[in-house]
Order: sequence, then C-alpha cells, then structure tokens
Amino acid sequence: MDKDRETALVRDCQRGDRQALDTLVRHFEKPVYNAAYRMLGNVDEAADVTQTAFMKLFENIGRFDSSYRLFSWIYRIALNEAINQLNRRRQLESLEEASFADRDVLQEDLSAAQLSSRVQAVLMDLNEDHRTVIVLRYFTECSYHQIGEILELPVKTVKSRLFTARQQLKSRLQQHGIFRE
Amino acid sequence: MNDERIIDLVNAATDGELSSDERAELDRLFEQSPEARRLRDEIDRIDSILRKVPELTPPETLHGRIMADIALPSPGKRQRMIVSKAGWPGSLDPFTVLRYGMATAAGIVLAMAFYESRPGISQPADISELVGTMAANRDRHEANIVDTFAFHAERMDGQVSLERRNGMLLLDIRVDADEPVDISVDLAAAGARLNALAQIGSSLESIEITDHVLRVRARGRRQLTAVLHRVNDTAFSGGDTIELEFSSGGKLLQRGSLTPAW
Repeated sequence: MDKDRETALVRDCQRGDRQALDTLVRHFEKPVYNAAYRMLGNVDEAADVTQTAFMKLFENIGRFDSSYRLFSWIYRIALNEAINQLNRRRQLESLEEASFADRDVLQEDLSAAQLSSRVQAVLMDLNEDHRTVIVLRYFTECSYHQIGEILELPVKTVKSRLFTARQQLKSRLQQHGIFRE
Repeated sequence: MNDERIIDLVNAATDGELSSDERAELDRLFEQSPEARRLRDEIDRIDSILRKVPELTPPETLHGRIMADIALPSPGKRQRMIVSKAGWPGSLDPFTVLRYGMATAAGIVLAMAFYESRPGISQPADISELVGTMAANRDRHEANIVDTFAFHAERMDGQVSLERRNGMLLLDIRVDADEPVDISVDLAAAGARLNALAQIGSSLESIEITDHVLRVRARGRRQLTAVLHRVNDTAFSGGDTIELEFSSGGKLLQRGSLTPAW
C-alpha cells in the first residue's frame, strides 16, 4: 500500500468510515500477527497483541501525523506490546513441537511446520533487541530505513544490530542442527 | 578494505540495500577476498532458512475481534474516539463503551460505587472512562427490578432483567449453559440503545451489535450488564417492549420480552 493510499484511508477513518478501517486492518493484520507471533512464540498471545495494537492505534488515529507511515506506528505498538507481554510472562513457555530429539536433521529435510517451530525456538533464544530486528527484517520485510523508523534508531545502528543478530542466529541454528558450517 | 566495510556491504547486499556503486565495489571485493565470499555464503544461508519459514495465518476470528474493538467517530460529529478491548464490543458508535480493564477488586468497587454515588442523575452518565470489570451486583434489591424474563432449556437456563439504578436503566443478562446459547436483544421497538456495556467475570464467546440489536453467545456461567439509553428519535415508538430470543445451534428455543417502562 503506497503512502498516498494509506494517508487517504487514515483520513477516511478519522471521518468515521468503517470500510476504510476494514481495509487498513485487513492490510496490516497478517504481518502484525506474524511479527507478534515471532516475538512471542505463542499464537494466542500473538492474536491478543495484534488486537491490542490495532485498538491502541485507532484510539489515537485522530492524532496521526501523516508525515509518518502508518506501518511504522502499528509495528512499533505491536512490538512494544509483545515485549510487555514477554515481561509479564517472565519465563518462556514451552514451545509447541519444540522437541529437538532429531536435531541432526538438516533444514532441507524439515517440513515447513517443523522448520517454523525450530526457527521460532531459535528466535526465542535471542535477546529482544536482536529478535526484534530479525522479525522486522524477515517477517515484515522492512528495510533498514523502515526498521530505524519503527525502532527510532539510526540506520547505522540498525545495520550493526542486524549483523550481530544474524551472528547470534547462526550460532543458535547450529546448536539446533539447522545450520552447518 | 577493513572488515567493517566488508560486513556492511555483504549484509546490505543480502538485504537488497546496495547502491549501484556499492554493488560494483562488492563485486570487486568478491573476486579478491575469500573472506567476503565466505561471509556472503553464510548470510545467504541464514537468509534462506528464514525465508523458508512459512507465514502464519491469523485465527479466523481475529479480524472480527479487531473490528469489534474499534469505534470510529460518527461522520460529521466531533466525538472522542472510544475503543474497547479484548472481546468487548467496540463498534458501538455512537455508543459509549465501558473500557475493559483490571478485573480487580479496586475496579469493581469503583464501578459499583459509581452507580451508587450519583443519586438524582437524570441522564445516563458518560462512563466510558470507568475502569474495571464490573462486579456482580450483589445488592440487587427487588424494588429496583423493572422487568424480568427467565428462560429454561435443556442444559441451559438464565435470566434477562431490567433494573433501574440512579436514573439509569440497566439490562442484566445472566446465563448458565452447558452448550453455547445465542441471545438476541432487540431494543428498537423500545426506543432504546446501548449506552455502555460491561462483561462481568469470564468472557462471553461473542458479542455483536448491529443498529439496535445486541447479540451475545455464551457458554458456562456468564453475566453481561448494559446501560440502556432512551432514544429521542421519532423513528422509534418508545414505550414498547424489548424483544428477546434465545437459540442454540441455530434452533430457536424461546422468545420473550421486557417492558422498560421509561
């Protein structure tokens, strides 16, 4: 969705147009849900965080500054909500299907569901800063600039954080048998 | 060329963030540096693994939950944005919705205290900022009951009551059902609309509001209280009955009505 379209839809929402609201929610719902899930590793919590993020977004839609992009706002809210949820949870829940008895199986041999589960376990091993940049890069397809906008970080910091996150990820993927040198 | 530059370029290449000059620089680098090629392969493999992770599909109910959560301002009216949360019906525009909040004793006391401490108010107050899940009204004096309808069916029963408190007319729905029961409350003929809504205790399975009809689905022991507001609108006759329907599994079980006696 380009910026002009997004701005027009936001303006319509501010005027009470529920069709515009529906369009925006449909556009962002899935990526926000996926980002929340990859931060949390729990589908129910991801749905709740997504719901809350949209609620908070539209609670303040009247104050939305159209010089910004809506996606950066919704992702920022969702990620903050997810981190808050993690803090509340305090300890990681056991992940479904997160059994690594067959950890020597390479990723080429894993089903999509198994890969998803294992990568999720690896993501949960990362600290929140690193997980956040990986999630934004791979599960919401954000550019460096967009990640910087969402996290309110300079692009240079985004780059270095992403690099470190990848190194951490490589190490964890190796531990889980998904990646070999 | 230093390591930092190699890392920057290789990562940027993977992320599609290279300029054409940088691309040319990196190509030259790959020709000269096995370390750069190794780093590229490594990042590409990580990239490849992550890109194979399938996208999840949100639960089917999520879109409806989100939409029900959000109330937009009425066109042409300057109105505060009011949003409910977590299973609350939010599309109440122009209804005022009790915001979900802490299901704490403090909230409960606050909620009920509000009702009890505003004698003489003639219009339903704006209670949109009221925090907390309301407590079951344990001090439910018979004298306050305006009308009651009880329903009974196999493995489920309940009661819908109208109760007057401090100038407000409350609709109280109580259910105890082993199977999901759908309750429809049609307020149109009675010239009423919902002004606020509170779920008490556990969540209902669904709440839907269209125009002047409230539909809820409940299973187990559930309670919902709504504040009704009389509509001064000639489209509604006023003084007529609130129509109730109880069904389960698509089968109508019982009909009933309540008289608000404004």
